[in-house]
Amino acid sequence: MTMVNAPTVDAKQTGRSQRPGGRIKVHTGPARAAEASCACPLIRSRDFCLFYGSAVGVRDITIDVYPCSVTAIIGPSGCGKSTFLRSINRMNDLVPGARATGRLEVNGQDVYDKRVNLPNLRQQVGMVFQKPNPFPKSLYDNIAFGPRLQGVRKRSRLDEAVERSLRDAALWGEVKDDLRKSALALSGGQQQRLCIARALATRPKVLLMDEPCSALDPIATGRIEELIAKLKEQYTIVIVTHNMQQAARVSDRTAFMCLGELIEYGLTRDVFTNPKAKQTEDYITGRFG
Amino acid sequence: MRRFLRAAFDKCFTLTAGTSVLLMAAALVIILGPILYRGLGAVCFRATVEWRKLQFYEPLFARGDRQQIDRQVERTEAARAGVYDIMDRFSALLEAEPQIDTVRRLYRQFKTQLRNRQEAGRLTGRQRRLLTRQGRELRDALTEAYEAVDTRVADQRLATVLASDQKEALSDTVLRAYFDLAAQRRGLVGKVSLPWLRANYPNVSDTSDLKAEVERVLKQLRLEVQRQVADGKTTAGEAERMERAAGQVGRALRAAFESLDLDQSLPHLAAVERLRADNPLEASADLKPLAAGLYDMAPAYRRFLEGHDLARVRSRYLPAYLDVKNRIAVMFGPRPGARPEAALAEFSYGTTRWDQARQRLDDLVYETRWQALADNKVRQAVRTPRAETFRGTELAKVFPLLQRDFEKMMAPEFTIYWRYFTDDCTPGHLFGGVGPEIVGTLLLTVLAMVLALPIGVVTAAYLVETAGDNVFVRVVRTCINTLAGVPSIVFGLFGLAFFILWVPANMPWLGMRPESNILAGALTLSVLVLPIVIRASEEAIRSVPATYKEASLSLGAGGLRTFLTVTLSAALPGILTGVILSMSRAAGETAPILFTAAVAWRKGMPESLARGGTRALSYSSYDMAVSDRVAMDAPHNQYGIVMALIVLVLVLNIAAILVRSRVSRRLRGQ
Repeated sequence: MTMVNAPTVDAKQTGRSQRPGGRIKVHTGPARAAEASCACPLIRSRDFCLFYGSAVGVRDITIDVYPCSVTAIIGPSGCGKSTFLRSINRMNDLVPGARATGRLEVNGQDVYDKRVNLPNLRQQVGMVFQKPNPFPKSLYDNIAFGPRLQGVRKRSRLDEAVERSLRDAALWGEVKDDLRKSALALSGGQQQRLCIARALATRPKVLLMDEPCSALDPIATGRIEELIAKLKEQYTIVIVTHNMQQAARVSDRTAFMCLGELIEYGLTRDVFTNPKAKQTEDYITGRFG
Repeated sequence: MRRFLRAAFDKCFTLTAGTSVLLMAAALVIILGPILYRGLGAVCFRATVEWRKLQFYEPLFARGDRQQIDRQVERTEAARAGVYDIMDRFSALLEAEPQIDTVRRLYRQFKTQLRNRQEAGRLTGRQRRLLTRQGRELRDALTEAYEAVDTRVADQRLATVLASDQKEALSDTVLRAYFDLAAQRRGLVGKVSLPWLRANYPNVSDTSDLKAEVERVLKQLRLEVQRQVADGKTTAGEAERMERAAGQVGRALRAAFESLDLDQSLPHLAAVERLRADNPLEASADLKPLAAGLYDMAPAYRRFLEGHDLARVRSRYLPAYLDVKNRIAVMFGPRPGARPEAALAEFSYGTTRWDQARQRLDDLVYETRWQALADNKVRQAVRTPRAETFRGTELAKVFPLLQRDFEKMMAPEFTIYWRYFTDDCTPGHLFGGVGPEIVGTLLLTVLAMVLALPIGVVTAAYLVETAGDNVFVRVVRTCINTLAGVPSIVFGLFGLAFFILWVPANMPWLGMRPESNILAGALTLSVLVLPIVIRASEEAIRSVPATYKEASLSLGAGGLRTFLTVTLSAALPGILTGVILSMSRAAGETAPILFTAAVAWRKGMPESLARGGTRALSYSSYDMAVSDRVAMDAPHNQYGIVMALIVLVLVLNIAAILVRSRVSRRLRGQ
């Protein structure tokens, strides 16, 4: 059911009445071809629930994330998007009283298994946070942090890793002259790209992004979105965003969550133009949220 | 209206806040200012030649330019020679002891000489016995001459010695010195016993002539009175009264002149003074000078008698003279060629500081006596020149001489004694610097920080990161907070009981001994500052943004790795604040080291950290503050050591603040 090179879908064509929310442009492109070929998902969750003590964080999430794609999770505030995202690399362990049930697999392995090697997992599943949080060290040390953890000591290899990460994050050109500069001296957008570079330095399979652009100005946001489009060729990206237009722009698949439950999950253009659940439609058209 | 009130209140608040900051700064300046200023006086001052001598000759210091010092010593000694001369001349009659010692010493040398000569065969036994007897006679005569309180007796004995027919025989022995001494002494004795007579009545050699003189004056007076009656200037009755008065004066004077003993003459001399009070002879202008000549004899004779009686002279002048001599010895040090009283630095040199020397000079020249005001019983301190006590004598000249030439005698120069901070001091903290104290305090402080910092930071890390919220953690927190408020003397006693007494007894394998040592002191101090470090570190670690930790964990770092590389370096400024506060506290506390590490006096530094106590700035400040000697003789040292403590703490603080600001700036990305 792929629609390669399909033109922009119009509300009229689908036969629905004009919606007050306006048009939502759905991005299509050649990358879409990839998703069809990879039938095996990288991240699978089956009835995954997370509790904070007795309060429910997320409930019965069943979702498949396919490799080399961008999956967006949208929903109103407090619906559990970040909670689920953070469950994937077990960052919720930091919260006292967090408890998970169900199954959540990354690359075939249950993340919540007792025997799992947590540092390893986190190096495979990188994370970028909402507010850019570079360490108060030099650019070099920030990016080399990951490789150093992995045991890389040789200077040349570290240099190589740093350059590669910075190029991947589209930051190399701007900072290559002075890597010793403190990371806090960069602008907000640059810091976020630095955080992305830092996460990429460990060669993760998955990159989790928790509202990466919410603290940035529109120009920086645009650059990050370009970056995401580029990164998607190599990495699997799961992005949580409260900005629906952004989700529509960058992602291949979208999941809509509300009050801790997964309401709808599917290809982005389907979700935005032909949402199956009423809640999804209400949210997308702006009736609540 | 409300807005106006609010604005007024805001302004008031700002004003109050500003004022209180100013008041705090003022209080700091008022408290520290004088201490630092006076303490600076221990480092920058005008030093006399005595100080430079002390720096050169005292083995503790042994520094200086020998040539320059010798030149200065020469110049000052030349200036002081005048003072010593006057003192010698005055004291010759007062102090018999040194002269008598000399006489006896010469006699002993004489006997040794005779024995040697006999052994060498140049004398026979009989000759030797003869010479010995003659020598003994001379010695006894000379000794009596020195001891005599009556100058006539002294004069007689000296005449005996000088007229001795053994001069020839003894001229090749040491005893020839006797004749020189006798001649010298005779000259002095002669001066005291006859100055008045010779000055006023050149023809008079003893008191019988005085009586003749009185007769002569009386006769002249009578003639004059009769002439006046004849001329009609006075009545017969007046004349009779005058003649009677003159007769009374004459009788009193003659009675006074009968004796050379002041006690016997005194009533008659007093009678003459009374007669002078109601004096009919004053009436006539012609009679007045004659009468005055008569009346003046009485006080003059009295002075003569007082000077004539050596016992009285001695009892009158000796205590005062000894006081003056002592004060001069304190200012100038021992005389050139003489040994000091005791082989201590304070007796071997004079006053080393110019301000002190000037004060001592002032105390020498002026004496403070407590005199009762008119009718009151209340006594008032009155400053009188000491020269008054010695009026008319040789010694009176020494005071103006001292005042005029004091600078030449002490040669003050402005010095900056930088080595105050590195020099050791003489026992009692009278001279020298506070070097060992500074080293001791630094050792204690640094060691205490080295011990407290790791434990404190690890404890804080545990409390923030790992500990849950159970009873145990709450108890630990309460204990730490309580410990912060415990008085420091309790820590000191704990240190004594535990580190000095209990540990060496029950854990001998540790090698600590039950005596003061730096390690025990440092351990006690580290226990003292531990709560501060824990509190500050806890605050600092807690205030590290959680995002750093999240980022680090999400990159795959373990908990410990995250703490060490990310959290700790981000918390560093706060931890350094704790270091600053606790360093100041550790450097300045006295009670914890009182029983464990501090000693009031020791030579240099202990041989190891676990053996031997050390001197410390805080304890020595206390020790010097309660020491009377230091307060009297070296008050600048008291201020100096406190200044050293303040400066040390200031320097440590500034260093730590600089480090912290650099770390801070790096963390902020500049």
